Amino acid sequence: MLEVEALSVEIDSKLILDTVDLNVGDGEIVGLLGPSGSGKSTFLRAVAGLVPPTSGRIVWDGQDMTGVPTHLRRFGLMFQGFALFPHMTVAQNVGFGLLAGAGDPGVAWALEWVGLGGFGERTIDDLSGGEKQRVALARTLAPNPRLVMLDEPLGALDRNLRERLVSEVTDLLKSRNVTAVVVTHDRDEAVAMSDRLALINEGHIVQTGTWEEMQRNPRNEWAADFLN
Amino acid sequence: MVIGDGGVSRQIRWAWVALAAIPTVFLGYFFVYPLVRILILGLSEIQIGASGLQARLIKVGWFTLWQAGLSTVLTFLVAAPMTWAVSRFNFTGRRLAVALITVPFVLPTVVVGTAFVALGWRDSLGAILAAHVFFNIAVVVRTVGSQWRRIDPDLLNAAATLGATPLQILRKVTLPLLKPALAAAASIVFLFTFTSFGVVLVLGGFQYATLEVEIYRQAIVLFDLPLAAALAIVQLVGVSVALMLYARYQERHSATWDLASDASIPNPAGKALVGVYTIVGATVIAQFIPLGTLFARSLGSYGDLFAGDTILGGPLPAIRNSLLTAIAAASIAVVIGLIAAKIVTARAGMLSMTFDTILMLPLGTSAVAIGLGFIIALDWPFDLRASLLLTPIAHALVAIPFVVRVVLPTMRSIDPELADSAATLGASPWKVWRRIELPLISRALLVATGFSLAISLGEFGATSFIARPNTATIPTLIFRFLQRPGPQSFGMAMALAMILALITAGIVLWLDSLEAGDIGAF
Repeated sequence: MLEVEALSVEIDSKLILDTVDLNVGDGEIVGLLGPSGSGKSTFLRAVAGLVPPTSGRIVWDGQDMTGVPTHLRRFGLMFQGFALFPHMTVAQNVGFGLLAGAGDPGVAWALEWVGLGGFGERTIDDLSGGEKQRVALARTLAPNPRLVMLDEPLGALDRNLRERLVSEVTDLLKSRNVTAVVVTHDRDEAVAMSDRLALINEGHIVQTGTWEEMQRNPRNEWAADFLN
Repeated sequence: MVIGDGGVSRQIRWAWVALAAIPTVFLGYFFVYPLVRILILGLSEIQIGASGLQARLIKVGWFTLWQAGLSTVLTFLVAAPMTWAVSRFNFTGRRLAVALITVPFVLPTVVVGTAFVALGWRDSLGAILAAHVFFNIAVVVRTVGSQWRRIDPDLLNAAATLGATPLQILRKVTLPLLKPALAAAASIVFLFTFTSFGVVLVLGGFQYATLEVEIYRQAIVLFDLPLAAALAIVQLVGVSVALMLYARYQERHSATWDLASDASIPNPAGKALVGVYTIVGATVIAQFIPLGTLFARSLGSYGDLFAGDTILGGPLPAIRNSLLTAIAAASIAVVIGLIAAKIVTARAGMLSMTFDTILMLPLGTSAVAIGLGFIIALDWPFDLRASLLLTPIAHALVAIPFVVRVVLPTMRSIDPELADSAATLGASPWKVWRRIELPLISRALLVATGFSLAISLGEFGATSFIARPNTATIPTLIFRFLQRPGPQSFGMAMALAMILALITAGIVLWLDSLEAGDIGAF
C-alpha cells in the first residue's frame, strides 16, 4: 500500500505540490485527474524518487521510501513520451529491468501479453505509436514492480487508437491485480481506467472518491466545473 | 529495506565530488599551477624592467599583431570567391571541393611549413603569410559558407524587385546577415595566426619571430626563462582580450534568423557555371601546389630516411614515440574529458556550472604556454620534467577542450527521461551510465578519440619545449632535419612530413566516414 503524506515539492522556488496526501490500496488503480500544469507529473516523479520532495513522506507498506534512490524503490513509471532506449531492440528494452537478459522467457511473455509476440528483434524506429505505447507498458510491468505509475499513458496517441487501448490497458492491469496510479487530463480516460479518482489542481488534491460520489457531491465549484 | 534520512542520496553526492576530483586535480596541477608559476616569474621580470625586455616586446608584439591582421585580411580575400561559389550554387563535386579545401587545415603545422619549404620559400615574410592563408582558407569557406547557404535567394530577389542594385543587395542584405559568421571566421583566423608557432618557426627562422617563436627562442635557445615567462604573459593577455572582445560581440549580435534550407539554392547555368568551376578549380589546385611539391620532393628520400641518419638516427624511434604518445594522450584526454562532460551534464548544481566554465579555459591558452609552464613549474613537488608521461600529458591538455566540445552536445541531446526510466526499472546510476549513456555516446567518443590522436600526432608547440632528443616525435624530428643544411636532410624532412601528412589524413578520413554515417540518427 502506498501512503503519500503531506508531500510538497518546490522547483526553482515555485511550489508545484502543496502538502499532498494520497493513499493507494493494494490492487487499487487510482486515477489522478487534473488540468495540465496542476502538478500531476511532478507527483509521479516525486513518488518515483526522480524529484526530491521539499517536505513530506512517501511510505510503502509502512516503510519510509523518501530517501531511497529511484533504482531501489521498485516503483515502475511509464513515461509520457515512452522513453524507449533508441539503441536497443524491443526485447532488450523490455528485458532491461529484468535481472536476466533479452533471451529471458519473461520478455517473450511480457511481449505476448501486450499483443506484440514476435516483435522482439524490431528496432524502436520501426514501431508505430500504438506499438511503442505497448512496448513501454510491457517494459514497465516486466520487472514486476510493486507500484505502477502511468503518466498520460495514451496521451500521445490519436483518438481512435486511444479509445481502443483504454479498455485494453485497463484489462491488462486488472488481470495482474497491480497497484497503480494513472495520471491523465482526460476525464473519460480517468473514469474508464481507475477504481477511484483523485482530483488535483494547482498542486492541491481537491477531492478523492469514485466518479459517482464526486458527481453527487463535488467538493467545490471548480470540481463541479471540471467534472462536467 | 529501510533507509532513513537520504543516506544513499548522500553517498551518491559524495561519489560526484570524488569523481569531480579527478579532472580538478589533473587540470589544477598540469594547467592552472604552471600558469601561476609563469605569472609569478614573468611579473617579477617585468617589474625589474630588464632593459632588453621593452624593445624586444615592442618589436615582437607589433610584428605578431600586424602579421596576424594581414594574414586574416589576405585569407578572406583569397577565400571569398570560393566561399561565394560553394554557398550560392549547387553543383556536382561541391561537397568534394569543400572536403579537399579542408585538407590543409587538418594537417600538422610542421607539415604545412615543410610544404612551403618544399616550394623553396624559406626565411621570408611572404612564405609565412602564404602558409597562413593556405592553412585558414577552410575556416572562412566553411564558417561563412554554411551561413551564406542558408540565405534564401528569394530574400535577395525581393530586394531586387524593390529596386536595389546588386551592390546594394550585398551591402544591405547579404553582409548584415553574414555578419555573425564573418566575425566568427575572422576571430578564429586571427587567433590561429596570432598564436602561430610551427609555421613561423619553420618558415621565418628567428628573423620573423612572433611572440610564440620568441618565447621558444628565449626559453630553449637562450635559456632566459624569466624573459620567456614575461613574453608568455603578454601573449596570454593578447589572446584573452581577443577572446573577450569576440564573446562580447557574439553576446550582442547573437540574433538567429529563420534561414532557408539547402533546397532553394540553384544550380549554376551558362556563364555562371563556367565561373563557378573556374573559381573552385583554381582554389583547389592552388591549395594542392604546396602539397604536390612536398610529395614530388619527398620521392627518392624514403630510402635515405629509413637507412637512418648518422647523427639523428632513423625515423622509427620517432614514429614509435609519436604513436605511443598519441595513444597515451588520447586515453588521458578522453577519460578526463568524459568525466568532466559527465559532471557538466549531471544536473549537480554548482559543481556542474563551475566545470562548464573551467573546461573552456585551456582553449584560450597556446600550446607554447603549456610547454613553457611544464619546464618552469613541474620541478615541484617532484621533478617530473624528465618523465616520459610529460609529452602525452601536454598533448592531452591541448586535446581535452576538443573532446569536451565533441562529447558534450551528444550527451546533452540524450533525453533525460531515458536515464530516469532506466532508474525506475531498477538500474543503479552506474548501470544507467554503462547501458544507456555510454552506448548512446559511443560514436561521439570514437570521434573524440580520433581528434585527440590527430592533435597529438601533429602537436609541435608544447612538444618542442619538453621532448628530449631520445623522446623526439615525428614533428620535432622533421624540424631537426630542416634545421640542418644539406640536400640529404632536406629530402628526409620532406619524406617524413609526407608520412605524417598521410597518417593524419588517414585519421581525418576515418573520422569523416564516422560523421557521414548515421551519427545523431538516434
